[in-house]
Amino acid sequence: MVFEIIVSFCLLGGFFFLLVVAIGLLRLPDVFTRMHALGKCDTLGTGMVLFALFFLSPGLTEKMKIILIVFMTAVINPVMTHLIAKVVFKRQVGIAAGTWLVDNYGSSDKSGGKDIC
Amino acid sequence: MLKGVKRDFKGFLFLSSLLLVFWLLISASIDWQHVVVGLVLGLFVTAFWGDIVFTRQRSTGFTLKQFLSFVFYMCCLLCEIVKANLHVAYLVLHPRLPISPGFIIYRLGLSRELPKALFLNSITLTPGTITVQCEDDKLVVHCFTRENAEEVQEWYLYRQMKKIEDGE
Amino acid sequence: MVSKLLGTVLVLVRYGLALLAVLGMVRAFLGPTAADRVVAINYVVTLVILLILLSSSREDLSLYLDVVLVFVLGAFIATLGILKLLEEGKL
Repeated sequence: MVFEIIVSFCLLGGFFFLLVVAIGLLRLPDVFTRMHALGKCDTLGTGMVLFALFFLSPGLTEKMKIILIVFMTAVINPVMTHLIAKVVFKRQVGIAAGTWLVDNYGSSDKSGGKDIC
Repeated sequence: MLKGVKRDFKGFLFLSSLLLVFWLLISASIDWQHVVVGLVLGLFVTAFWGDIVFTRQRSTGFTLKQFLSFVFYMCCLLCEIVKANLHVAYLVLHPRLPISPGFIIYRLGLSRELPKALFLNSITLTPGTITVQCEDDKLVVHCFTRENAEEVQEWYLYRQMKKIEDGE
Repeated sequence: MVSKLLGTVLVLVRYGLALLAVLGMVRAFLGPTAADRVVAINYVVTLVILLILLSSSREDLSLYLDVVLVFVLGAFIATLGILKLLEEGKL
């Protein structure tokens, strides 16, 4: 019984985070903020659902393969987010109004900042 | 073809054994034929692409202490991932959407490639920030709110990763 | 062997994920720029992976896991191709 409650909790929790991604994709204003929803909640949601499947799967081989898939999605998701962000930042299209930019690279003060769009 | 292997022999063996483990997971048995085929293929593939992979002069290698602190780092990262996810869920589901997105550019002190890649991935996964661009030590980060931008510059996982890189 | 509670949750999550895939496709249809569409399609790919695994029965799970492994890598390569096309204008 405890086992079933843990598995159900993992499934529903993963579903909740994936729902957050869907709502975020529809509500948030520009592509960078949408990628926040994708890069973070997607990884944890997939991880939780696959964790439940890890308990449900019958043999050792299946368990190892599920661990491999969790590892692969956890590595691939941030890399993909980073690549999309890099391309959009280079092209400078589709950035929402009111986005600020602070440059601490040259100087050491942390105040100031300007709007780029 | 063998230049890269000569440059970094330990890294070559490490990468080959990783490929062997992957092969054994896919083939799902530890019959001696599978092991031999996986070993030969792993060594061949790593040697073939060695010139691209092993470009740095410094050779691969880690101590036990570095490994243990890396495991500790991953545990901290897991906690932070859960916290950051709840934070993003709160922001997205809030009716008034209290976000103020923006970019921050700052200097990153890591120099070796693997710690840098791991740290940038953990920036993307954790505190309301995603990595946009990283050239040498100039790092561009997109933040969800202003507070995240101040947090990420003095993040405690950064100090930990710096320690791991220095080998303390 | 699967009890009533767990069976209900599994069915609910399966239908819910299918619904979320529809929402993701709405963003892919609306998306003002190409990058928005790439993001939305990535999300749909994740949902398809989970749907394949959840709808496979316990006996064929091993078979479908191999399918999913290839699917993840293929989707990753496809995204890399689209992004290279966006960045350089040619493949």
